Amino acid sequence: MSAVLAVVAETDHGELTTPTLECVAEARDIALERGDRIHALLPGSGVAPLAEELAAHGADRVTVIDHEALAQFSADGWLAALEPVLKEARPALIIGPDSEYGRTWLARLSGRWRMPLVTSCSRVRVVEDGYPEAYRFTHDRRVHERLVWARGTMAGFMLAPGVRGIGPPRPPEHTEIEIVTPKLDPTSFRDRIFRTLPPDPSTVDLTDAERIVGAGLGVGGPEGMSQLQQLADLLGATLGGTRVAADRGWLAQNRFIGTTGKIVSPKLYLAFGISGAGQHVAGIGNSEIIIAVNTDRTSPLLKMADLGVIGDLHEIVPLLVRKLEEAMNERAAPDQASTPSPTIEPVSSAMVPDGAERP
Amino acid sequence: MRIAVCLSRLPDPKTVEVDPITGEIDASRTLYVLNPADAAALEIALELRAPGDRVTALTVGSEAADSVLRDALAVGADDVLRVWEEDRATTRPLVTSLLLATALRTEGLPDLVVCGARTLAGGSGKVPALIAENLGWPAVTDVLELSLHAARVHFQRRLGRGGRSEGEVTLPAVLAVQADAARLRYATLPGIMRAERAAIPVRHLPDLGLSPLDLNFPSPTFRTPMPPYARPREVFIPDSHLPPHERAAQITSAGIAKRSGKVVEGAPEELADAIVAFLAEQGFLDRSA
Repeated sequence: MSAVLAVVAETDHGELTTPTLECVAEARDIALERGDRIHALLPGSGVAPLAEELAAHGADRVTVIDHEALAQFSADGWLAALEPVLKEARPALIIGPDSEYGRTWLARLSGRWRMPLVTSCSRVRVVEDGYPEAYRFTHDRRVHERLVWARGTMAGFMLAPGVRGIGPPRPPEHTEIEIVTPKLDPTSFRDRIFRTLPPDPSTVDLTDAERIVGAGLGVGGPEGMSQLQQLADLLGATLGGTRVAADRGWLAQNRFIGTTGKIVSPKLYLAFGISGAGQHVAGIGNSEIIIAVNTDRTSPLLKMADLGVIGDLHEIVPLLVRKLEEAMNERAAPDQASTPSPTIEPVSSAMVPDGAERP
Repeated sequence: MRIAVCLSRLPDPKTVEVDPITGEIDASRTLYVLNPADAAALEIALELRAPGDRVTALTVGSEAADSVLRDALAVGADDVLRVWEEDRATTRPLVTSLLLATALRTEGLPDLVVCGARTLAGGSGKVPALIAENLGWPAVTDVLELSLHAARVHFQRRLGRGGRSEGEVTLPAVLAVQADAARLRYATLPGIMRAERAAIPVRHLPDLGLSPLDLNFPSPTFRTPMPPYARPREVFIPDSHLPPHERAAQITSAGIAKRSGKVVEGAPEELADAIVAFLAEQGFLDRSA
């Protein structure tokens, strides 16, 4: 008899979060071994298109819980929307990402159902014929413990982000996608989120940064750093660099990347004057896109980069800053022209939607 | 207004020595401290206290946990209360939160409960939400800033990857604050002297109207310490069609597969153009514009 594994999906800016896909992959491992079915729950507003992605990663059934009151997180709202669906699904396990929001609403649900809930899991399995097993970190990830429950115990597991990674998608043969609109009364939600603020690139921790401009020895000194800072500001990136740059005082000590510093996973890494010593490269392995600028054509990082540029960064960076400004203005201009605001003062009217969009 | 603060006494992570083979903690070397997030919670409660308000500090634990309550008295908490059940030396979140919620109920419900967002030790961070659920209240965790507006609390909470969100919650509610939300004030000498002499009231299960059976939550059958090794991640697998030396080179590049990148060369002007074009192509110019 196949059991149901419920996976609760989380979205961010209209995309499934990576930890969510890790949870699906983890559930898929259990499902493939035991013949269980994965039932993914996707709460939110206008999130239906993401159901396909959950299906591609292995969900046998996706229930989209769509309601405009779920556009912003509310633990009361999440409970009101998800509890009935979870109750009906009768899952053997509930798996979700270990996130700030999950620790609010899923913890409340576990109290309500007197259900064990394990946070910070590094692995979730079902052993023998139905004993839930979890490995979890405690004490700042310095202690690892294995927990096994009685057979058939329904338990919630929150998978620590980044513990398993996402392999290639393993879709099931057929996925059933349903969209339900729950009856929700947003005025009864006692906790509400008004808005989400993006991280401030200049203060965000490097490990959290989405875009990083990296400085190496080739930057040459504080003047080079201030040029890179301009570039970083323009791109909304955070400034980081190699140990050499930090040791020379061009960077704060908590801003260097590598084996003895931060391990970063940005979407974009722009390396200036960094040759690519192993110790530094070990810290940037998780970057999605790497652009490297260096005068030395034999530097290892040039070969690893998605775009390697052989040239002097001192000549390139000022030009780059100017050209980026131009490119961004060009991109902003047609947007302003196309906004349907037939007012007399085009300049100020264009400012309003722009300013309003920015949280 | 009545504000309750839940405090916990925890192993100082700097003194937690883990055996690398068995993964067990050497208890004889562990020192205990007040959870830093709870200290922040206490400070916030004291800051919110208006004349006539009362701040009550609670903890679950044995006599040793009196120390955190004395710390709270020393910095100015009005009342303290320790909850304990001798027979069950357990501090599991479901039990802790039930004991705390019941104690709050029997002592007279406060308007606001402030907790630390995440204990250093277990790090489960569930207790605040579980207290809220026991009381039938809303909960907000990972709070960085909060301000009181009549029967509402405006808050800013932390999200992953450096983001934050702003919202509000209606009172009564449970708020769990992050360790860096506030810095606990220093105790005055008279405060410390007073706290040392104070009697700490204790409530046991019968005082709370609970029976040991009420604490029977499903618990793990096995609980085994493991060596603290990270789990292997799914990473890049080299193409098996490549010659061995190239596969080896790919594996040793610390997870960076040889990317199908291109290398450009030329005048600075052209190079800058190439970078801008590449960034535009990858969609990096749209969002930050």
